[in-house]
Amino acid sequence: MFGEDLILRPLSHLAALLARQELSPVALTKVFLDRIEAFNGLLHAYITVCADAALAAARQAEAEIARGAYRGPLHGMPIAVKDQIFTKNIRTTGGSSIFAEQIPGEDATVMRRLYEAGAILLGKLNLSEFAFGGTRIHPHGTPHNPWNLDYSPLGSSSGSGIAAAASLCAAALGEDTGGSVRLPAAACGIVGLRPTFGLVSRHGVMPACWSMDTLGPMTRTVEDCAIVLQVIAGFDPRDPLSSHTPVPDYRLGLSQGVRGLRVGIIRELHDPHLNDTEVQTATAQAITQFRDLGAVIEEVSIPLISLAAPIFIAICDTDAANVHEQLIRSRPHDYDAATRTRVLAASLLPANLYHRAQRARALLRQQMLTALERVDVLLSPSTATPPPKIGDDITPYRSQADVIARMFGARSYSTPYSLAALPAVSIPCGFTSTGLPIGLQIGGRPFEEAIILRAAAAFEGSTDWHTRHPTLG
Amino acid sequence: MDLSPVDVKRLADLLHLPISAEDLPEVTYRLGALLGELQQLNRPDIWSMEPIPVIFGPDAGLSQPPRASP
Repeated sequence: MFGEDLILRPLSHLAALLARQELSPVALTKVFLDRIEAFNGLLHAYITVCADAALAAARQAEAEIARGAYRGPLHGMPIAVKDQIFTKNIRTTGGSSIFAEQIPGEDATVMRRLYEAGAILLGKLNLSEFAFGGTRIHPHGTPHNPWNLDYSPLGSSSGSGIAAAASLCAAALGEDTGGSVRLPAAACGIVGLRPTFGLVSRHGVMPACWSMDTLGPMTRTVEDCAIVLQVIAGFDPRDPLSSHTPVPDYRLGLSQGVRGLRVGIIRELHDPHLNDTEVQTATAQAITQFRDLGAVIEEVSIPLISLAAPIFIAICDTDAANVHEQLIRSRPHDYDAATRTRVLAASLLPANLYHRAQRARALLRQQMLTALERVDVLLSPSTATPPPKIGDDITPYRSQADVIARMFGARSYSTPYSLAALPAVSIPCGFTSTGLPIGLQIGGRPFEEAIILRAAAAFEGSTDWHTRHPTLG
Repeated sequence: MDLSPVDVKRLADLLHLPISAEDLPEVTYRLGALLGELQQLNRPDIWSMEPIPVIFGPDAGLSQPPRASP
């Protein structure tokens, strides 16, 4: 009952056992803590483990459930969050050495909501420094992909992807600025949702880019993703960009299927000349699967997607340069070299080019919304290639041509949704011949997460990719 | 865009931005590449848009909910 079989089950299954008191929150928390103890040294998913506090919270949850005060599917559920999210009296490093001993005095809004739902915090998860991509030396240990330790889990929510995939927690929270939930979700073979900007409060989250930072669930199944989103979504007066849009029941339509749903294939991201062969094949098979399930498939074009990478870098990095304006001057050598040179370069970008990028961003959103008038969801690979080997993607740039080839040469699949402030999810859609996960990205209209999750659930239910687990130890 | 480390150092000095000799080449490569890529955005369809962050658009859901009648 308390072995490997239990811990590999989806959160929804564990929740049903907890609700019926067939499973003890204390016993479940101990199993996860044992697994973290066994494998975190290999994977570097966690920066901080809160064993004592987690067990105390589990005992409290057990007592509450026993007396009939069950709060819902996260009650007594061991979860973990990216170490970019403030946790009262628990250090929050932002993946940096500068904030290695930062102890927040309050919880982020999402933490408060998770605690109110009865969730148990196992610990804080590793990330790229300050949630930037391309960190060369992770101050808190190099994260490893649980499917093959030689490979990258991608980032920046690396630890969240690893922990959810390797069952080091029942669910994780990540933060997605330009793809930081969806990319590690794809690389680690799990479900990762970037909600619509404004749906989930940013209050108490260390910022990367004020107009794109978005917190999202990272889970093993689509239903688990819906359960976590239900708890964290909704207006927060402490976030000035929080939306008043009503929050629907995200689990309600999960079993409705996709018959008649209009699925748009983004021409610019379904190009065999751009995509790895195995990624292209897995995506083509996913499209066939959607057609077999009754969806109406059509091709759509979003021309400006080809320039999403420079538009994103101009806006995100300039915002980040502003966030780091003081620290980059006072403590430049406490930054990783990749973060430092990226922030310094963005600090010198002329304001008129920043505004030109904002104009392009507005046009990109217009093109994506126009496409979404014809179709209900958009489909593409989550990434053009499978995850790289650790170290392959983080070597210093040797020339301007090297930057262009590595940063702008490959088309960006995740940043279009970030720029357009639209929701998108990555779900598993296959594995490479070497056993690395491949992700499928499904995007949609603002605040229509329910439709995206419905499409994702229909696909998940017709495949077995989500039932596979990495072998550890 | 053709940008030299001397150009970048001069600009950084004007802004009192500390860029070490070790970092200067990579900062130059990064900035030069970005400036070059952004030249592709010099197009009429982009100039026709206003540079207002998309999150403030009418469909962004940021408006206040209607107040209840007294």
